[in-house]
Amino acid sequence: MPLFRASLLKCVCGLALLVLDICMATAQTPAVREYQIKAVFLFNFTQFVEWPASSFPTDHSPFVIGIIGKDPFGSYLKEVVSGEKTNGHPIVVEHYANSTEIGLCHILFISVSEEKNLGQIIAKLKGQNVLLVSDSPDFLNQGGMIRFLTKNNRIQLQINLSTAKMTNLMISSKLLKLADTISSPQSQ
Amino acid sequence: MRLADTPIQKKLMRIIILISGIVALVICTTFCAFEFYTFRQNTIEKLSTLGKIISTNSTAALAFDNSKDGNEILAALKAEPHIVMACLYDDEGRLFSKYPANLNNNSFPKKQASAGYYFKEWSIQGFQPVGIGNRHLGTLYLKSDLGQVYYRFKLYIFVTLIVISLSLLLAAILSGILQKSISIPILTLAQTAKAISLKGDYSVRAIKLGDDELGLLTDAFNQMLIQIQQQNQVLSEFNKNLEQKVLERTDELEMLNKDLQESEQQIQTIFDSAPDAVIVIDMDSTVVKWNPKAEIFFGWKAQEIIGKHLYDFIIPPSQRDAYRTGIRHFLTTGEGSLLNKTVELDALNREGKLFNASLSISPTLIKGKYLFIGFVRDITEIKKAETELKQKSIELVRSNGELEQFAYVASHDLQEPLRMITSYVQLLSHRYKDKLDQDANDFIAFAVDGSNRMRVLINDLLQYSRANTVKPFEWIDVDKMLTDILKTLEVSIKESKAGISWGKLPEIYGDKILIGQLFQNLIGNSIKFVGTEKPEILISGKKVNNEYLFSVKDNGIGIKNEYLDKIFVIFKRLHNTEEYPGTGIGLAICKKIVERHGGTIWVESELGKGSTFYFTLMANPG
Repeated sequence: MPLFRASLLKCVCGLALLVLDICMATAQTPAVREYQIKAVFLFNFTQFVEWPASSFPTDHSPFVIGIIGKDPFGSYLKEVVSGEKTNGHPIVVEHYANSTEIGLCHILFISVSEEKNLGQIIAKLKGQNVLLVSDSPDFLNQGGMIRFLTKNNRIQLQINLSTAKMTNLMISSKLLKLADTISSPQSQ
Repeated sequence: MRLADTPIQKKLMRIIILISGIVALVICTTFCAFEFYTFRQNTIEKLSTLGKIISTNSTAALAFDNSKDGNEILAALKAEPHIVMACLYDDEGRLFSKYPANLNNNSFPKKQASAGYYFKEWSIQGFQPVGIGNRHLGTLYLKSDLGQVYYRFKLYIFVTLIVISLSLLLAAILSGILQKSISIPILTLAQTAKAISLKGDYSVRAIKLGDDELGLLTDAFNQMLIQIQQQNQVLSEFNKNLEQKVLERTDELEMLNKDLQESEQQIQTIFDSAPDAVIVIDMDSTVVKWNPKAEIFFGWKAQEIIGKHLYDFIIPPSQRDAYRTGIRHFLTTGEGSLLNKTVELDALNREGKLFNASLSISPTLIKGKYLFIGFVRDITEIKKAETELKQKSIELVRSNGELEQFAYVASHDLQEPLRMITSYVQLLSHRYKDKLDQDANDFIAFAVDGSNRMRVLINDLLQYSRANTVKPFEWIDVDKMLTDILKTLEVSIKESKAGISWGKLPEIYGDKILIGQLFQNLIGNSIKFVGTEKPEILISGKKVNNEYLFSVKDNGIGIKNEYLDKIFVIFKRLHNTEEYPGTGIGLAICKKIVERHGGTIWVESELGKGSTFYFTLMANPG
């Protein structure tokens, strides 16, 4: 929905938004709403996680949010990140059909459709400075880093600190404070 | 008590305390205000810092929509007891987290104002954006009560009050000590002044306590006292002098009074014993004074006539109207034909008889009113005498005329027989000179000489009598006249070698022949009565006032003083015929001629040195 674009939000006054928001909430299905939030969260990770400079070929290389498998965000994620930058890197969204297509990316959202390939994908990116995010219940145990957990109609974050520490990614303490941290020993 | 009436000590202390109080108040107030403002700013800054910390901490909660976490972050504000309210709004303006957690949502402001902290409703509150980088996540709202500020403010006021109280106390103590340096000299001066004004003792002096302005004041005060003392002295001396003068003046006045009394007495005596009747009347002709002589003249006693109208008593009825008119005329114009001169008129006495009186009236102004003083004399006797004298005078003139006529006729008629005697005696002498003896010849010679002298005498007498008959007067050139006279006298002038000179002489008006005779006689005399030296005669003349004054001066034998008056009497001779020939008529003729011309003749002389004959002639005998 174009009305929820971040750039637009900055321009429209709060009262109008409140009214529209109520309308949207009734008009949209809970699933759509859930992924809209998750899209924003994906974008927010760019603010609370620090990538080493080596993960960018140049200073102006794009910050790539990759989606593997079936894209649950529709066009929404693209709209959220459109025009946004993190540390001078323009944020772009890329889609990968399978693990072979995965290119240079900084955040990789593994769709539920690739649940069966989780191990393969994680293994492929092991040691790389890529933040692995997914909805899959078993994601963290398989070596994922951040999982969206929908509970009481709220989206919560679960972070596997052990896997995160294996990379050079620095996750903000503020983010960690919000999330449930799991420190499972690497199973693989 | 008004400030102006307050003693100077209190006044000074009050002023000092007031000033120090005001100064302390101003300083403390300024300081308090500054501190208060600074503290407020600090409080705002502190709140702003706190807000920054909270907003930084709450970014994740907002970013990941975790209001519980937001609440926990806000709950940490418990450590700051002055924070009464805080909340977070998400980027859509919805209340996201709040503190205290149990507070109703409606208590929080719905509307988000612009960023920044401000004082509002006894609190400091404000909004602060929450975001990461350029990304806006939400807004933080903080509200702090002013407890801290007011606590500080109260503290300031307390300290200020203490400072002011202390400074006032200090000012009171110090001013109590320091004001003495000003007030004590003033009080000393004031006490001195008071003592002086109470006792009037100007010999007291104020004590000088220093060389400041008060010292100057004391000096000036003392100087003033000295001046007052001196002036008092001068004044008392002046008073003494004044008293002395008053005494002197009183004495003088008494003397004057005495003099006045005496002079009044004198006047009264004069008034009483005056030979004339003295009558004083006022403007209404009422008699004021009436002396004893008036009583005698008019027969009225003073007590009978004083206070009554004068004209009813002494003025003849025929003249009363003229008298009243005269008085009225004088009172309106100040002029009077009868005033200040003696007039003769008729007066009325008690018996109703008229008598001749001479009257002189003098008006005198006393206290703005005229008094008329009249002097009246009974001239009945004088009048009688006058009449007699007039008659005698007329007789005298007539007899004189007859005498002159007789002298003329006598001398004229005497010439004829005299000429006969002379002729025949001369004939006798011629014819019988040799036939008669010496005695007869001598007798004849005596007879000739005697008849010659008689002829001269008769000629002179004729001239003398002719001097009475005056021809009409004419203008005479004296200079020319003298030249002619010198020709006539040529022989005797040559004989005596006389020098005759004159200066410029005025023209005169008179009988030419008589005046010529006058000059000729005088010049002839001067030549005749020559002394040891040759005669020098000087003739001068000038106009003096209304007359011509002439003089004929010689250096002859002069005249003894005792004879100066006698020489003008007819036939008066001082010398015998042998010494100086003459008849003794010449100067009598001169006198007669001068008198005919309304003048006088006299002589000044010194025996042996010469004589000067003076005569005057009326310039305009009219």
